[in-house]
Amino acid sequence: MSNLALCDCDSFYCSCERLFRSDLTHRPVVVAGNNDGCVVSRSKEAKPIIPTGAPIHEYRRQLQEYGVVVFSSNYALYQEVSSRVQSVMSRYTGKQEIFSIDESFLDLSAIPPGERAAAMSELRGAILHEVGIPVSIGLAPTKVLSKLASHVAKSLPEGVHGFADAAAADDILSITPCDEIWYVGPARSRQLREEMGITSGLQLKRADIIRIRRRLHVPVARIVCELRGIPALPLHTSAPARKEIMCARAFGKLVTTLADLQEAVARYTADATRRLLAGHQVCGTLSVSLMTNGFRTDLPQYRASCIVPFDRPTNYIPDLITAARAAAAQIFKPGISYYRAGVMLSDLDSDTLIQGSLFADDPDDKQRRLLAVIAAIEAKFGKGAIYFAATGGSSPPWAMRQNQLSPRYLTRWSDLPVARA
Amino acid sequence: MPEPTKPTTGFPNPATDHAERNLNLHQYAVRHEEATFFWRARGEAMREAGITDGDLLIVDRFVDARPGDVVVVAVAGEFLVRRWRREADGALLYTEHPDYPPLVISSETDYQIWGTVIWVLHNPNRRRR
Repeated sequence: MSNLALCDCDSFYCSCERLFRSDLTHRPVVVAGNNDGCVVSRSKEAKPIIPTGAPIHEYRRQLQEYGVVVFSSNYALYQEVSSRVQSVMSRYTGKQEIFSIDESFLDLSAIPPGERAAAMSELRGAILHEVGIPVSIGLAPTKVLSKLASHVAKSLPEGVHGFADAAAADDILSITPCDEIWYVGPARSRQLREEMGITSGLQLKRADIIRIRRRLHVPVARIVCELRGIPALPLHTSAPARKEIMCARAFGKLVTTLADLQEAVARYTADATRRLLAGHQVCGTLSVSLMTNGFRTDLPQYRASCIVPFDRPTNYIPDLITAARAAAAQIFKPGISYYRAGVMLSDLDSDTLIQGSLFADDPDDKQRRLLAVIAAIEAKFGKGAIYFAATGGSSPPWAMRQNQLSPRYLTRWSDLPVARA
Repeated sequence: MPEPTKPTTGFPNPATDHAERNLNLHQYAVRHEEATFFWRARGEAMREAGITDGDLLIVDRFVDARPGDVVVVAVAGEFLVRRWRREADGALLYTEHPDYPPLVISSETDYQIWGTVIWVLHNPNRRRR
């Protein structure tokens, strides 16, 4: 019985960019990832022109020839559109797993089986009408099959497809190579082919599950169960507690001075700490890593990292920034052109464990008040309204390249879409 | 936000039991949170409908536009604010200014209503915030 649905936004980043650009409705659009490096989203029209993940600079000629419009990733826009889409979905289910920024699994068991497909058509219409984002929805008894159903749905004008039971997916599975099945991936599908002669999804479904488990371990055995219609991947309705938080980015241009490096790692620390605070967590260890660009064989290569343990777990931004700057200074080597830096917060714990001091003049209380004031200012005036001077101004020299960034239509008053009156 | 300082002596506040939440303009104007978007109007063609250059438009995509409604509409790759009326085969997009003629759209496929304007936030003193 298909009691699960996967709701997947079509070319999500491109669809967000088109929402406020009616001139792009039928034009090929792509969105580039960090530093405008590789393609992370393609509109339907752009798919024959450039492969996913392709480096933009290698395709300049084709992009120009076909008039492809290229955008930098506007995460502020995508996140806000995504939360509106998720919010519409939540009207149709009590249990929802937000799998990624553009995909959610919905538990449909509260809807009578005969009405589920119609309800999902209605949901698809509601998201398109209210938020303006096209989605495809697959219904099936398990996650892996619902993902497959959503792929089928993408090629259908109605955008919704269901497998009533596992057998209904057999025709599609027989023409689906293993690496296109969710969770399998290229490495495992190579292993399946070489060691067991399995190439199609249908062969995988009918494979000897004991042999699969012995050769390729439990994760692939779970996929086999899911293909047979037996749920083996449960629905996660709340995000699991994170074990570490990573903020690592390549610089917009190579960095050579300690001052710039320290500013960058301070910024990454502030961004990582914002996530730490949002999850009501503290961290016991901070580590900073630096590296050069491995492709620049003309330059000296270097990579290093430094770990800073704290006596007491903390989420106090000034302390974390101080630690990150000191760590960067320790591993900095002059005469090197740095390409990328990363900050990782680990040994995470819930912040309730350090709250509730008996004494009013407890220094922790003062720190908590400062963090609360910063959070309140950011909530009222937006991110960037207040920042630590150590994290650099609004456009430091090392900042990510985002040359084709669209306005932050939904999160800045200065960036509202314009209608001609 | 920090709590306002409370008096520690004196008479108890007789209004305490009658306290209500402060009025919230967003709550008043936005009925469909997921479907409501803020737009900026540029130009004077809708002046007599109370929309002037720089005004903030509250646009609801949930609400289906009815003939005669002011809408944000996509025409030829551009967004316009206009009063919309459906015609036999196409639409009329009216302005509200004597100097600007209405726009005649001859086919259903040549325009798309983006959303219905449900409120206009207008500063009568012509000072920008």
